[in-house]
Amino acid sequence: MPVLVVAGKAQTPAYGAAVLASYINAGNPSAVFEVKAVDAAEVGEGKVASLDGKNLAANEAADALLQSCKEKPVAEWKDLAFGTLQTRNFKEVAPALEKIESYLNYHSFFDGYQVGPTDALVWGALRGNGVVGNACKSGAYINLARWYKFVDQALGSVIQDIADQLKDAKQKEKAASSKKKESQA
Amino acid sequence: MRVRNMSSQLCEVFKKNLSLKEPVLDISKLQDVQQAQARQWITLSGRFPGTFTELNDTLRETTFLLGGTQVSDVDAFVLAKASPFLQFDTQKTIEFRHVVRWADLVQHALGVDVFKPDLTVEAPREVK
Repeated sequence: MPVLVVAGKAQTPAYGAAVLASYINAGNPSAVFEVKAVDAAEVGEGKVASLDGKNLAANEAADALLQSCKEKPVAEWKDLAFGTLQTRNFKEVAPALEKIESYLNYHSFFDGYQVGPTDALVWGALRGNGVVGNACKSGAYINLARWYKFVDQALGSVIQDIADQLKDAKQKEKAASSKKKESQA
Repeated sequence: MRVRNMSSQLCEVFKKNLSLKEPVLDISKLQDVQQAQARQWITLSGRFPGTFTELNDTLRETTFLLGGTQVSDVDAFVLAKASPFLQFDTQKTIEFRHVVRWADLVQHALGVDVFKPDLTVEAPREVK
């Protein structure tokens, strides 16, 4: 099974790819991708993800996963997810949030009548952007908050899995470190 | 998560409640909280369109009436009860934008044509 490795401490973590992997797995009888996390800012060579051992930038990882996805994302929203939504300047992101809010007035999802790859990419970009987290959840953008909650319930558990993996790794590292100290004493 | 392969049970709930005055909705398998929500919608839907504000307010924060990621019998039931009143003009489309979104989603999930929403109506941003 191909393994997607996500650098958990990256400034722009490859959450879009991770959520997309979750979406692809959900649409298949058995998991297509395994998602693993590393407690680092990069997996190597300045990249934040790797797929089957090949190091990739966040958007490259998402693009690689899209090759395994039957449906194609809506170009306009994919561009937003790959660009503006990753910006760490709220003033620059705010117009994009307004655009999303307006679209979701009459639409439940970006992919028509069910969650799709576009929803996965947009949600992943927002989830990975610390600057917009509060805006997505607080209800300052009413439609965005409703949609965000839905995608979180549908696909968001992969992000918790990543956090759990990082926590486990840290605990193991701590235990190994104290064991080493004990043996040295 | 996905609404493909929709069971015909939802369509049955929808069709039965289109024509019958007495609600036909089995809520026995729902959890307690959802049963309470379902009872509320059985009552409120009997007063449509006067209670569309309540429906719109609920759908502002949730994609489906019972929350979660799946369309339910309650959605099908309430859509059936709302269906005679859904062909909104521009003003009502804006006022009840969440009802429009939800009804369009549920009619698609059920594979029925209840109304033709105008999704191009520009609506000012809502403030909480």
